[in-house]
Amino acid sequence: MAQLEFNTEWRKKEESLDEIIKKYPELPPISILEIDAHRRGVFYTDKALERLDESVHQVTEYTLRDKTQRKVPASLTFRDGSHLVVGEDFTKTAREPYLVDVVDDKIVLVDKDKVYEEVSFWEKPKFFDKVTSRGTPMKNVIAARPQRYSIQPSKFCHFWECAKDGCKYCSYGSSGVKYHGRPDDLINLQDVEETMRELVKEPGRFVGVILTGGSILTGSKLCEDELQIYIEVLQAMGTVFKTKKWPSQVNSTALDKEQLQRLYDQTGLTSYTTDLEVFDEELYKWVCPGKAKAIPQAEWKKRLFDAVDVFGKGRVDTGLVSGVELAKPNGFKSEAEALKKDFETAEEMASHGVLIKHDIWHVGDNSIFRGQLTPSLDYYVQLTKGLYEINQKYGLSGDMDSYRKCGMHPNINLDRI
Amino acid sequence: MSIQLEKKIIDAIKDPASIKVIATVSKEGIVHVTPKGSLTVDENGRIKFLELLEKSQTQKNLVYSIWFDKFVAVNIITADRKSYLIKGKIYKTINSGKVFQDEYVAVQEKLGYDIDLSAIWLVDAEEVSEQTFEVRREILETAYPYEKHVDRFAKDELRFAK
Ligand code: SF4
Repeated sequence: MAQLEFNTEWRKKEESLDEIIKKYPELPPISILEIDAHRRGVFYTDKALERLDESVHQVTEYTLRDKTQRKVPASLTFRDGSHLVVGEDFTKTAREPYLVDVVDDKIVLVDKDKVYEEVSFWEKPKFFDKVTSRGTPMKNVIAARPQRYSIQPSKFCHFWECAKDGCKYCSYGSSGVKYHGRPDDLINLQDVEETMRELVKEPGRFVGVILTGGSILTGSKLCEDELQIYIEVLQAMGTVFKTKKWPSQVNSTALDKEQLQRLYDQTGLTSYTTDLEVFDEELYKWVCPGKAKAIPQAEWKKRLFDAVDVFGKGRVDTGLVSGVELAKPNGFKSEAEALKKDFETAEEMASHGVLIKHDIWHVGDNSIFRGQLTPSLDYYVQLTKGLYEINQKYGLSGDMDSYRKCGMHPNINLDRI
Repeated sequence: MSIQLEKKIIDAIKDPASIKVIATVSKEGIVHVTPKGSLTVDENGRIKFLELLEKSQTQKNLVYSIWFDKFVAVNIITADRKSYLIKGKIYKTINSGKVFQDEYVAVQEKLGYDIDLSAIWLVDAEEVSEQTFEVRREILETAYPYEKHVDRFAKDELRFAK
């Protein structure tokens, strides 16, 4: 079995999962476990991997730090039907991950020999085994989670033109640099249309789509080329639907109001996301320098408010990469300070009809922030609870980015009851 | 602790002539009772039923139950007016994968192609009791012989005198 070595000192400094579950009886224990598994990652034992069936399950292949080749399940579904979106390859945290093991014939999540939950592996859609007429494997055109599919219109993020401008937590941007100037940077529309034709033949498989990719800053005005590719991809997708609008979400660079209106009018799109990423303005400038230079935070917020006018309340959301506001050396010095600022900004945004979500920060080996330590479970639970309550206070339902359509936003996942 | 359902209960559940209802509770503590025609027993002996509507109150309450380990209750009323109450805890919900998709197809073939399926729910039975009136009367009046109205103790010539 591949071995992992981690420093376990953190356990002495932080409250344990069991202690946090006891501390917050108003939150479902299974959701707190999910938050912690997102934070710490997972690792599959050999016994668990014996249950992996490549003809059924979605598989991720990657190389461990010690060069061991791994072929593992893409991720896991919990008993409550929520989906953990944590690949083993994300497991680059300083804390040891949960083990996915087999106990009493069930696949379970284990920590320090205690069995916490039964889980199951994600299954792959049928189109994953097909190719387009251009010879492109359809799984490279459209990605899948258990209930939603996703399309990446562009791979290269223009904020990485100059490496120091990329968002410091982002592994995606740095790995997309190799596509700069290549013809396969942009998705092929014929591939999209053909894959969509296969995808809709799978009854009960999907409830929504997200389109997101690297920022494209070029065009007759800022992000005009990015807008154009989203419109073209959405129109290609729309050829398979009988209704003008269908469940969909774009997560793009913040477009201006005129661009948003075109995006809405010319496509089947029903919801829109553009992430503030960091809720404190000074830290936003440090963590996302390229974004801050192109679109200062005040303008980014205004564009979100404009998006609510175009798409409607509850059809627009924004997220923070939770924990990066505590990154060293410039981040908040305490979790309490970070939470205070996060809630202030969340309140401001929600009062304008913008739904709030957070994504748990995974410290990627390819990111500028590699080697940093993410915050405590207590911070993540407080943030989740606080953001949930703010959305509730402003009557903002999380349907557009729900546990079925994403799964990575713990505060929105609480929206189910 | 989950229990195995007796054959007569399984037969009652599977009889298409039986009426089946499920009671759930919301996070505010409000009880919700709805018919569940899809309710059956799966190959592992668990109670299984379908929720067609993602945003229904029953769906919310079922999530609440699995999150906070609350009971749900099912009542089976047979064609000959017997009533069986089953209390249990949610084992899991299935909303993706082959098992779900096969059920989705079956639902649409049966109910029409404009009908959705949100989730399959599986419940571990923990307690079963017969709630048929005559059976409950016998049990309770034996256990509590003096919790009846006085006229029922009176001599018949007095009680039924005009
Ligand atoms: S905008 Fe920032 S987070 Fe998004 S891909 Fe570019 S660098 Fe990464």
